[in-house]
Amino acid sequence: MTIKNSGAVQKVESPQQGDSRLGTILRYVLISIVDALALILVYGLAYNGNYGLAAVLGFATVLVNIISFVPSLYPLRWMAPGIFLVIVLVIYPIFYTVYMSFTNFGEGRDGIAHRLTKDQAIELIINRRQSLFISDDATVYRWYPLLSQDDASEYGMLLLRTDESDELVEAALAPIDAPIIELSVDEIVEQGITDTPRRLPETFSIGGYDSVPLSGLGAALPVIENSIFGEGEDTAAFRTSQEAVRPLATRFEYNAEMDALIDVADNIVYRADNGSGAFRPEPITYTYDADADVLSRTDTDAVITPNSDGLFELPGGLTVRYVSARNALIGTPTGGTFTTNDAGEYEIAAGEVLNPGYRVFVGVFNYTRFFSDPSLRGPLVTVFIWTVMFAFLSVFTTFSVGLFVAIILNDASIPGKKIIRSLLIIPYAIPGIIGIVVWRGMLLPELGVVWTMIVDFFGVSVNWQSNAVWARFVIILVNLWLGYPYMMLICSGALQSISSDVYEAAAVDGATKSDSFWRITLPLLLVTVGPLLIASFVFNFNNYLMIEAMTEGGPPIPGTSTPAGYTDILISYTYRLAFGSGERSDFGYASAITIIIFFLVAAVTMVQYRFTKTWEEVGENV
Amino acid sequence: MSNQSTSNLNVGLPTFISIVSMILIAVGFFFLPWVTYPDYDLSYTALAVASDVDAKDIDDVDILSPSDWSNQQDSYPADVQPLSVDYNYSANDIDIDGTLIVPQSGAPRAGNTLFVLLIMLGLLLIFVVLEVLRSNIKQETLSYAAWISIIGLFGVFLFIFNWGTHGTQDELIIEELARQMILAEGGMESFGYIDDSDSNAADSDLVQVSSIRDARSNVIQDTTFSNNYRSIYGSLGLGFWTMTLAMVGLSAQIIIPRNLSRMSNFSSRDGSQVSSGMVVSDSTLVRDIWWRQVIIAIAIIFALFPVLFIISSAINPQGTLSTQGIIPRTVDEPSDLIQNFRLLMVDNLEINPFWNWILNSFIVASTTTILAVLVSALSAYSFSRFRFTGRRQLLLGILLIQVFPNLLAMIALFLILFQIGELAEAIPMALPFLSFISWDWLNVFGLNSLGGIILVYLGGAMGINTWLMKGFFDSIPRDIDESALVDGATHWQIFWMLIFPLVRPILAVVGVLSFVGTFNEFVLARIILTDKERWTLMVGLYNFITADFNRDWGQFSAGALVSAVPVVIIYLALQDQIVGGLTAGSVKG
Repeated sequence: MTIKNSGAVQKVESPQQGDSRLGTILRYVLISIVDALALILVYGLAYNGNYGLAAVLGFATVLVNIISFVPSLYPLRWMAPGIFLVIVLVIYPIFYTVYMSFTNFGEGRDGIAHRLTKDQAIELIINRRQSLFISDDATVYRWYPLLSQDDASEYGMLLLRTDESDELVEAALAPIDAPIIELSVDEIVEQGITDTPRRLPETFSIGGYDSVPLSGLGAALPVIENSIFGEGEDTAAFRTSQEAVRPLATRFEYNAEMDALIDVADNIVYRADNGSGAFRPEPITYTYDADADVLSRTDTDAVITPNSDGLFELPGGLTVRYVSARNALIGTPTGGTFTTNDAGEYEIAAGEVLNPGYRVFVGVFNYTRFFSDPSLRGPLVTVFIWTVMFAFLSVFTTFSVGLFVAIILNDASIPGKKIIRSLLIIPYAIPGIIGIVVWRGMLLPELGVVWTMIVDFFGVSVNWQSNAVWARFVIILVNLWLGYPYMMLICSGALQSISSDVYEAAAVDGATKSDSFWRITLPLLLVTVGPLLIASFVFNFNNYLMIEAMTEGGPPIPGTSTPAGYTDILISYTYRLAFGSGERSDFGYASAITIIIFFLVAAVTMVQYRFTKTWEEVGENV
Repeated sequence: MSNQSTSNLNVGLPTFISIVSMILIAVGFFFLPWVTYPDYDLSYTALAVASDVDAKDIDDVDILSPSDWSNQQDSYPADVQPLSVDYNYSANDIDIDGTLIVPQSGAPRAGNTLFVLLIMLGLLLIFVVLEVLRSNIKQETLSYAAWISIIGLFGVFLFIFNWGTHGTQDELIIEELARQMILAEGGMESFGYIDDSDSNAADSDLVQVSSIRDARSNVIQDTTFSNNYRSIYGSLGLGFWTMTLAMVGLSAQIIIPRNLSRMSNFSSRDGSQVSSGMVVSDSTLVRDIWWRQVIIAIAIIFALFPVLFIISSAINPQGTLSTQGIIPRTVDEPSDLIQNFRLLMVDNLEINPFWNWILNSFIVASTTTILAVLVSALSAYSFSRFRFTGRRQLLLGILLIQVFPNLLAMIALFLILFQIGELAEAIPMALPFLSFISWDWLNVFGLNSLGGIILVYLGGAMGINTWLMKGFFDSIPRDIDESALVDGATHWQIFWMLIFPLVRPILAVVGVLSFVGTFNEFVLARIILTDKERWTLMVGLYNFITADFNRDWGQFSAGALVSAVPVVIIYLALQDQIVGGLTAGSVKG
């Protein structure tokens, strides 16, 4: 296939020779457009704090520029788009994955999110709306939008207040930018509007206003939300409950010197723990004054008096009781005993770790966790063993069946070979996901055709959704269906390339059929298809689709700290860690597993390198 | 030759046996309904009751037998009254409350039987014609006849399997019953439902009734209708079919070796027939060949069974998984056959924008293919035609990178797309003087966008494709380029006007592989594309079965068929070329 380029090797031509003037102009125009765009994107990325992507994009663009303008790099110009894509979409993601595996990016096992940078986390916490309080003396009204009868764009509000027994006790009409008009309750009731505000008639009119029909609400709401009703001191405004409870002052401040967030209201210091990327509250020390029955904070001299139940409500949400017999504070009802330290003070952790945390470099923590955490290791060992089993069995079954069929078909005396081959490769042509789902449907307990058939004929109900062994069997079976046509195709190609002389010679020497298969066919075949078998092994090692579409990893392994199932392979397990159940998404840990998978795959490839000559052949072809 | 003369003696017998067996098959099919479902009458009472007061959907309806009801009454709210229905069932109709309905369900009925009968008659005819032509027939044709008989066997198998699922007869009756009850009682409300959840009310009764199936065992066990009918008459049927099969098999065994022995005589005469691994001798062939045919037949059944199942499900108007057989049994009129397609492509578009998915898939697959082919063709040209420092390293590097599957980098890719998507807002803020342009187009490359998924796929563009193409480029003589260079052509002109037309075959192969691969890709697409309108076909189809595996099976199958048929055709048409590409490295399964 390769011609030897001995005499006619083209050294790099000068660009003038390989490029027309029009081409040059085009090139300059194209490059300037690319550069301008890249500059903008890089700046935007950096502005968002995504320095990694910005740097890579910049680097790739610079590289493309160099390639385009250095004459000796002319051959590379042809692959500039390819190189650009590879750098940004293949190499960078690999490095990014490596980088992430050394961070706590994602959501940790403690339930603290570590997605933001530290600055972003601080900004978020400081600006966060605390769920504070509607003040006790605030009055809450039920409100209904009204539309002026004179001016179809002028809105008003009907305010109704009821007491606890749903009796209407107060009513008012609030136009925009005009004084609020008190309405007498009787008047409202007389007008037939209602006596229980929950049952307003669909349409009603009051004080020159009509009710807004349902269809008009869409137009009304934006106006109403942005208007102030009433005039002077007595005004009403529409606020969501969240807005209504917005605190007047922010609760947290960031103290750069201490590297801590400080809860101003309760005076608690949440010091940044740069090791794990979270703001942890510092313990507060108290002294107890038995005479006055009060707790005093030693850091602020604030005094806490017991509530009506005799409990001290400490900042951070903890309540404790003083038990004189033990001279200790007992957490109530949460438990926990606090005794005095050497200085005669009680030291009590205040509150909980702030969420979100931020992402930090955690070194090899994710990797050591992978190897040491017993609850993680539990499923991992199972998952790993099954991954290898699955990959091996898949290759073995598909290859055996594929080879068998190929040998049969290779026999010249079988009629209609072409048709048979076409029929047999149909499973290979069907989109994988569809094939898998169809099998899943056919095998589905209670519903599937094949399942019912097995029950009807053999009286066995194959509960592969709850039985691990059956689940694995089914996976291998379906993978066999998907994969054997491929093996058949490559084997029949390879079989035809084996010369018949070899067999004839063997037959002359008295070899039996099985001799010639095991000693001639198979070894010769393996030389050709060996690399493909290893490629298939690697492919199945990461055959996420098969597992996810067939069993979703199930049946689940009981008692694991991370969701894992008996048919999970490493990649599906990782996927679930990263994108899986609910809110939790431990990108850092998932990345670490990804890197480990990569090394496993690389090891397999090394085996391929050692035991086959592929790479050397590749070398020659280059 | 001795074989020849022996087989001549046998000419009449196998022919006779095969004809007789075909007749048997035909007759068997014709009588199948009576064999498996003899006339019997049954009548029993069932109760339908909502499982609790807040029952909102048919899943909350229990169907109970009277004795079950009396046992379990305590577990239901006191004020719930079960709806009682008596019904009688005979072989041909179901009588519910005096209403005669034609069962949609059922045993292989006359229509289907006729259908199979016709096929069998056709096969028979072919056999007869073959026998008539026999005196100067080509050897291959005869073997084809043997093959047709094997395919016929396959058909018989299928039909038996189909019959094997006729346990669903009960379930179909129950479903029909429940549907009738619900319709008769004016809808779900009569069960104490608040049926406000189902916007798809028009076909809700059809859809929902299927879940009542689960209750079937409750009813059946408590009635005069015995489950045993199936095993008794089933055994009869099974025995009948086994005998028929045995006869067909016997005749096939006689026919095939005989014909093939003739063939092998031919082969040894012209001496060209050499098999690998098999010692060629007439006697071996005669002995071996029939089990090979059987194995191939089994392999074909294994390969095609799911395919037939998709086709059957797609045209089966009863769209649930639990009601599927290999031959759809509930077709009343021809338009029923396209009911699933109608639901998928016309009726339910607001819920499942099927055409959007198709369009998205085509946009993604074709854009990716065109760009990938261009990028790798350009690179391959350079690798093939220039010698430069680092060339070898680059080529090896491309292969090395392939070792890292892009599925593994999915987290990183996900975040990269997320960051690109953020740019649409960031750029006008970061560079206010540029805000006169809309930067929203960047969203086209973010998460949940077609551009984004195309970017992800393009990451693999420089892979094995470049190698494939380089190999092909290398095989095109350099003299062409050189003479053109001498004539003053630029490299671009050479590439575009000379080389490009010459390498079309490999471009086609790479293009087809890339298109099909992208079209079928599911995992990455599902991570990146979250909006229903943005889904590709595979993601959309998968969604049919994620919520409820049973309910939308028909529509899933219809979609699967629509998406698989073009791909299969492409594969079959370009078999040889694709196999070439395959052996060069891309793997599936």
